[in-house]
Amino acid sequence: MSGGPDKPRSGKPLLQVEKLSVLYPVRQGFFRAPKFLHAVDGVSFYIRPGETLGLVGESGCGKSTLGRTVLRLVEPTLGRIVFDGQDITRLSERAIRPLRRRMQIVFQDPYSSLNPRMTVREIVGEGIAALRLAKTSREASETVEEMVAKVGLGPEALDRYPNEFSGGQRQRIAIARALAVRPDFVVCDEPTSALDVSVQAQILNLLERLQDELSVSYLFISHDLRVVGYMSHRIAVMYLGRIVEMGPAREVAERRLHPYTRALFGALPREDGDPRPRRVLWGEPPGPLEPPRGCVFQSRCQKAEKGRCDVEAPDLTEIVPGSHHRVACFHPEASELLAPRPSARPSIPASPPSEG
Amino acid sequence: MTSPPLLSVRDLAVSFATAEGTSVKALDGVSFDVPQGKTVGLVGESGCGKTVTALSILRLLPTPSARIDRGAIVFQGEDLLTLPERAMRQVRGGKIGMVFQEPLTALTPVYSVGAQIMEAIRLHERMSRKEARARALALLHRVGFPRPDERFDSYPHELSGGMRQRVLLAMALAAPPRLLVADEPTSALDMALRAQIMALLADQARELGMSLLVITHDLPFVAEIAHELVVLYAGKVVETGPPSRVLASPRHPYTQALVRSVPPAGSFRTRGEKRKALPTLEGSLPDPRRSPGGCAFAPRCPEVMDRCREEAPPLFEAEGGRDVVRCFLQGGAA
Ligand SMILES: Nc1ncnc2c1ncn2[C@@H]1O[C@H](COP(=O)(O)OP(=O)(O)OP(=O)(O)O)[C@@H](O)[C@H]1O
Ligand SMILES: Nc1ncnc2c1ncn2[C@@H]1O[C@H](COP(=O)(O)OP(=O)(O)OP(=O)(O)O)[C@@H](O)[C@H]1O
Ligand code: SF4
Ligand SMILES: [Mg+2]
Ligand SMILES: [Mg+2]
Repeated sequence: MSGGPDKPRSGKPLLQVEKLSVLYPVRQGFFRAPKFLHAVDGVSFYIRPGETLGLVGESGCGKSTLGRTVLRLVEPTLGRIVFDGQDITRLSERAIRPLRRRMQIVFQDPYSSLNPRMTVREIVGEGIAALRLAKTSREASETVEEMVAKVGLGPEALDRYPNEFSGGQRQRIAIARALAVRPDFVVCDEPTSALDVSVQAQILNLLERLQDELSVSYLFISHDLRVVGYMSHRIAVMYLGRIVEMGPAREVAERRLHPYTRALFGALPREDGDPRPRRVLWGEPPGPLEPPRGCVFQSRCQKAEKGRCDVEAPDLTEIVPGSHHRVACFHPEASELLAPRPSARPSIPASPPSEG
Repeated sequence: MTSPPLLSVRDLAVSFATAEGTSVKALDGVSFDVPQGKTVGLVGESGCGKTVTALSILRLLPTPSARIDRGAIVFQGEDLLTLPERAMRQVRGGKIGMVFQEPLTALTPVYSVGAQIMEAIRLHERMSRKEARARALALLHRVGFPRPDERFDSYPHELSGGMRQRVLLAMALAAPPRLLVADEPTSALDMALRAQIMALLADQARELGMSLLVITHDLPFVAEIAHELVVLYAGKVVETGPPSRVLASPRHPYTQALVRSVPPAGSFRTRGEKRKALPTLEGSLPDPRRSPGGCAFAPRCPEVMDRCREEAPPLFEAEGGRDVVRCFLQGGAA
């Protein structure tokens, strides 16, 4: 078992994040010293070119903070962020500007990120113009029109203002803006949360097609486990600021080694329409102001072992070497399945396909 | 005899004046009822008019661009559209509560969330600050904040997306409303919280006889919570019925397309491998500035017939008169 940094075994990652932490100071009353809220706590992961890493976890566990921090929209407290070989952790805003086009975000709350005084045409075209991505203004406006059509809005949308649109239409304007500049990496923070399933399918197809064509990488945050399972190559499960399980999407979604992943995915509505009560979480998460000693999940875990889980924090560890499936738990679920089998499941590659 | 519905929306039509000087039809003759103590789900494609319907009920449409062209919204026997603004202010946050679609824009950035919930409580009931604070903490606990005192003094921007959404719900329940209008109340919530909020809403409905108009694109959620489903397309009702029937055997071609687009479970990706795209509806909602004759769904409809392009289909009865569907295919040869 190895607890070393998580790195792809071959090829260069586009994004490499090491032991990243984000602490927010929180005041409670005037006289008390501020406490710190550990929104992200020692998180490491990588994303390869053309890859989607899904990020799931309960409300408030730190997903949006993590997504914004890797783009340097929130200041990291500790750790390292390397984008395409360049350490961007402490780059000045000026030095980072040339990278801004390549790294985009679709915010969870898109409306507050759209300038109310600009038309859709201006919002979506802004990046193209600023970065001179088009040779002629004709080409620029064609790109804008194409992008707006691709997110399912009609040409009449182009000259209207954000407040004239519905919630889901605004979300699609934000998606068009992020994709218009042909980024290499996009943080998609709940990109389809305001969309009905038919428009959602249109957006998911668009994201996937762009990935096939241009090798874009996505950090894909969503509460919809079905969508995350469908879109991701790998999935990371977050709990209270830490990644507790990460691996190939199928492995994580089907094996659910961490007791928390069990609880999270166990709450999926059942395919067969069986009305039996779903398994949800028992108890309540600890406060992020005072993260517990030991495993973050112990207070709600049925398998917690006294003297171990409350003392020592389990590392994110690859249990079957070569499986790329890591879990931070002393008592992972379904360990009987983990005995090395001669006929390894075909879906576990011995090493990831090499780049290029 | 059945008692009259708590809320009855009748032939509601709303349009917007745009910056270019044209007019956009957002709703075009929408009618439905919300019976006493029941839950009605309003679903449909992004941009079809769900939020405009909700805002019309609360009379919160943006002025001066929005105009109610015709219709009535009868609540407890009174047409809300003719009520003086002062009386309407009593209705809002009193008898009718609202959870807005975009929490960040609906909350005031400069007040703590605790202060905002306390204010919502004290607006409709006289009580001391101390009592109001205790009530606010209890409400926060009910919407899934295990240690509400730690969050009481937080400002909206210090909360996560899902937390803000739940704060809005707590505010809407501050004075138990007769009718709760909830616009996407669970879109930012994980499965476990969603189940908790669903249970909370069901309890409120049972214990207090609250009625609920819930707007959502979360079909499994609405299937579980709603008694009746209303499907909108381009500002018109195209199908109604109990969710079990509508989702299992949809009758309108739009509803059929909607139900089909759910991504399949158990389909996983391999890097560098292309796969078949999800089924979608080609095209987009019709240009709301123009109102072509014929069925609004005709340009995208897989079943379209010549007649659909010339004539607008009325609502036909289906399921022995229990439900309605706006499609010629339901009207038989008539
Ligand atoms: N600016 C801030 N100041 C203080 N605390 C913050 C700030 N932003 C976020 N937090 C806190 O950090 C934690 C993580 O928030 P984050 O928004 O990352 O959660 P999330 O996983 O995206 O949740 P959701 O699924 O509800 O969107 C929460 O406890 C939140 O209250
Ligand atoms: N202030 C406005 N000015 C002009 N048009 C508007 C305005 N608000 C909404 N509209 C238009 O009215 C139509 C209905 O919008 P509405 O917000 O009701 O959609 P919705 O069904 O809630 O969609 P979503 O699921 O995306 O939130 C849309 O086509 C939208 O563009
Ligand atoms: S009326 Fe015609 S176009 Fe409209 S939904 Fe029915 S078949 Fe399709
Ligand atoms: Mg978030
Ligand atoms: Mg809406």
